[in-house]
Amino acid sequence: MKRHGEVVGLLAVYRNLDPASRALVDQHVLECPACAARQTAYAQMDQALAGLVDPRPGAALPRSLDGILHGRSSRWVPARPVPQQVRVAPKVLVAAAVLALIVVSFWIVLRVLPPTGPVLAETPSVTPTSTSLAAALTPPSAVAPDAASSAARHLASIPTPIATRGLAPLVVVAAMP
Amino acid sequence: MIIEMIMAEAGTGDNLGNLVGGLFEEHRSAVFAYVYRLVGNREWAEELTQEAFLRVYDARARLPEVRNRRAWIYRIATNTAFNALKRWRRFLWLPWHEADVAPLGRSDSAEQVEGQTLVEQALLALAPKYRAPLLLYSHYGFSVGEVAEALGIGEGAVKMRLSRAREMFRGAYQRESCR
Ligand SMILES: [Zn+2]
Repeated sequence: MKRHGEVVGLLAVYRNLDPASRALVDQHVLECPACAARQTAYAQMDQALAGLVDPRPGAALPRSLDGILHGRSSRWVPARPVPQQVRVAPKVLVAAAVLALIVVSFWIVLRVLPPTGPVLAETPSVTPTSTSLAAALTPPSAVAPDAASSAARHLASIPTPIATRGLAPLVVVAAMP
Repeated sequence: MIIEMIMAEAGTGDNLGNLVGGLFEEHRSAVFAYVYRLVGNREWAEELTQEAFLRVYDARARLPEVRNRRAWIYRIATNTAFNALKRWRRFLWLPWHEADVAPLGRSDSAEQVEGQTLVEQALLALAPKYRAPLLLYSHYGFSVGEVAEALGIGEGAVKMRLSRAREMFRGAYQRESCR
């Protein structure tokens, strides 16, 4: 039985074995039921695979080499994958979903929470999107009422497309399948 | 001896072209079936079979030195199919460790795969790396040496892959039978 591992490998190519290796296998198989079963299974496997009916090429494959050569001179480009059923890696899907969730959360927070921070009113040169995001991240309790109302007025004066422009590409990416 | 025969048969460059034409007609269907079983899509297999024979044609100057023309053609066909699968997987941004165990590239739907038997389904369950040697050895009747030549690997590697392929096939066949 000590040759079991060796024989398992030899069984896979039994047809091509030299007489000495074949004798070794034949001897081992007599005393090892696992290898005997394997030998039978492999023989059946070979028979089944040899008997497979080959699919026939269709009209798209020329019957002569000339047909291919003529095809190359006019239109040939190396065969490239045509995505018929596009499988997207699960990781990409998860990443897209997480991204979409973050973007939507920010957008909701932006709409629902009262805008805050005197920075908004005092430094209008700061880009609207970044200040809006900063405002959204500031706890409402820490904000003075008059500052909040002035920030709200400032935010209201920002046209919506500009306010969300920075987020638009993210939304597009997240909407990809 | 073989080289002399080919040289006599070939003679000029044009004759080498004719020789490739004869090889194409002789192996066209079988190579198509092989590539089809590697990539799993008819249209793609037809494209790749053409690409493979164009490569054979472009390399025809080497034919006089080729000892085993059939193994050489299958080597080119295998490389063409594997490269295409690799490109396709990159296209899908699949990480390599996943791509390597993926049983098949883009496959025809179950209805499209002609007369798909349990044996065909078990074959498809194997990664192309294992499916190719098993097909060449058991379906096409290649010797271990010819499989090695067709896959561009050593005979030891062929034996190891065949051993693993057979065990995988056995398992896949049993699973398919239980469905
Ligand atoms: Zn044993």
